[in-house]
Order: sequence, then C-alpha cells, then structure tokens
Amino acid sequence: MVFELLTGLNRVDVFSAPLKKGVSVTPGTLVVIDSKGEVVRATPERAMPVYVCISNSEEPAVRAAGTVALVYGDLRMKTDNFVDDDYSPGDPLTVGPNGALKKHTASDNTPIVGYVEQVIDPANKVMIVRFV
Amino acid sequence: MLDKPALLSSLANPRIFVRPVSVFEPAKIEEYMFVALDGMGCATLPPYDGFFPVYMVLSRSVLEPAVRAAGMVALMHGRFRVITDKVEGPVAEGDPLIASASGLLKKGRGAVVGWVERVLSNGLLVVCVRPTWMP
Repeated sequence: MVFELLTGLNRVDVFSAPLKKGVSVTPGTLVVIDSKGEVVRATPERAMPVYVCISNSEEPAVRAAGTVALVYGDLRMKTDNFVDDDYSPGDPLTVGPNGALKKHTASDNTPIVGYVEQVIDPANKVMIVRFV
Repeated sequence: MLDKPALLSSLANPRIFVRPVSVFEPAKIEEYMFVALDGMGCATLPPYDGFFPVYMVLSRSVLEPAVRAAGMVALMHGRFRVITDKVEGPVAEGDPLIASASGLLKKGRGAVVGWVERVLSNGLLVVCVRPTWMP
C-alpha cells in the first residue's frame, strides 16, 4: 500500500467519521458516508460525495477509536489504489469498485474525481493523482 | 450538531466575498441558499434551474438589521460540507444536486453544485458542495 498526501492539511478539509463494522480501509481508499453516517468503501453505484481516507483501519489507535479521518478538496496524492489498467498522465479518473480509482470512460455514469498527474511505477500502479 | 443547519467545514479553504443584494430581488435570500450574480454584480436568485456559477449565502437573512444596513450579503464558493434545509423535493444519499431558480438545492438537470452525503431523520441534509462535471 502506497499513499502520500502531497497537499498540506491546511489546504484541504479533514474530518472524521465512524467506520462501519466489518469494513477495512487503508490510506488512499475512496469512501462515502452511508445512511447511518458510517464510512464505507465507495463503489460506482454509490460514488458521491467521495472522500479519501487517510487512516488505516488496522492500526490499534484507529481500531480503538472506531473512527477514520477523511479528506477532500483540491489535493494531490501519491497512491497505488487503482483498478488494473494502463494509465497515462492526463487520464481522467473516477470511482471504481471497492474504493479504488479507475480510468473514466464515456460509458461511466460517475463523475470525474481526479486526473493522473504522473505515473511513477507502472508495474505497481504507483501514481500521483490530482484529486478534484 | 446534526439537528440544525450548520456549516461543517472551516472557513479557511472556501472563498468568501460580499456583494450587494439586487434591488429587484424580493427579500427571499436566506442563509445557505444558492444565488447568482446579476449584470451589476448583485446577488440574485439563479435565473433558471441548473444555472452556474452560483454561490452559497452565509448571511442569515437580508431582513436582518445588520445585513439591511450594509446592503451586502456574504457569499461563499469552493468545496465544503454543510447541513442544510434549503432543499426542494425528495432526495437520497448520493444524489447530485443543482441550484434551483428559487435558490434551493434539488435534483435535476444542469450544473452539479454538490452531492447528498446523508439524509438526516429530521429532514435536514448533509451536503458536500463540490461543483462537478457529470457525463
């Protein structure tokens, strides 16, 4: 798992919300808030409003608190949380299955949530993303 | 915290500015409504459903003495989360929202200004305001 927030926390909005029981997240997972106010992984069926999780649900402190930290805004991040595909700089991205990013295509009913800025490691899908 | 309209984000990142209220506008502009700017740069209700750009009103009401005296309202744009009752028609979690000609949020065609994060039991909505292009 690769994740690095490249935008200062003073330039994005950060908030926390309880994690739904049985759901696991890592930094970089795309999530939404469900009808009970709990964090679940985003999917194409429930894609918006999407947030980026910056907590790891396996960390003891996070497990004890039961809440995870979420960010949104005009931010840049290094992540490997992508659906398998070939990516190039400039590719528009949308919400894929299981909280991952995927390439946006004309057939997608979900909005563009970011763009590939730089492909650092194509084999491991490590990229810098501009999240919008 | 979730029982009344409130701004959930800090004021650090969104942009805030003030504009006079259009003299042609009836006193309908209230906090958390979405307004457009007319040809004179005055805050007015959007000319049609789905109009963009729109701005969220931060001032309580144009009927408040301080706002009336100043003749200006504070407007906000950017990305932020808000609990609001300024919505018309039924909506559900995940729905894209547009600004209606009455300054309320609703489902419909046009520029998406935000998304329903959660429908609260008291009828209020948690909305993530985030202008988005939709296919």
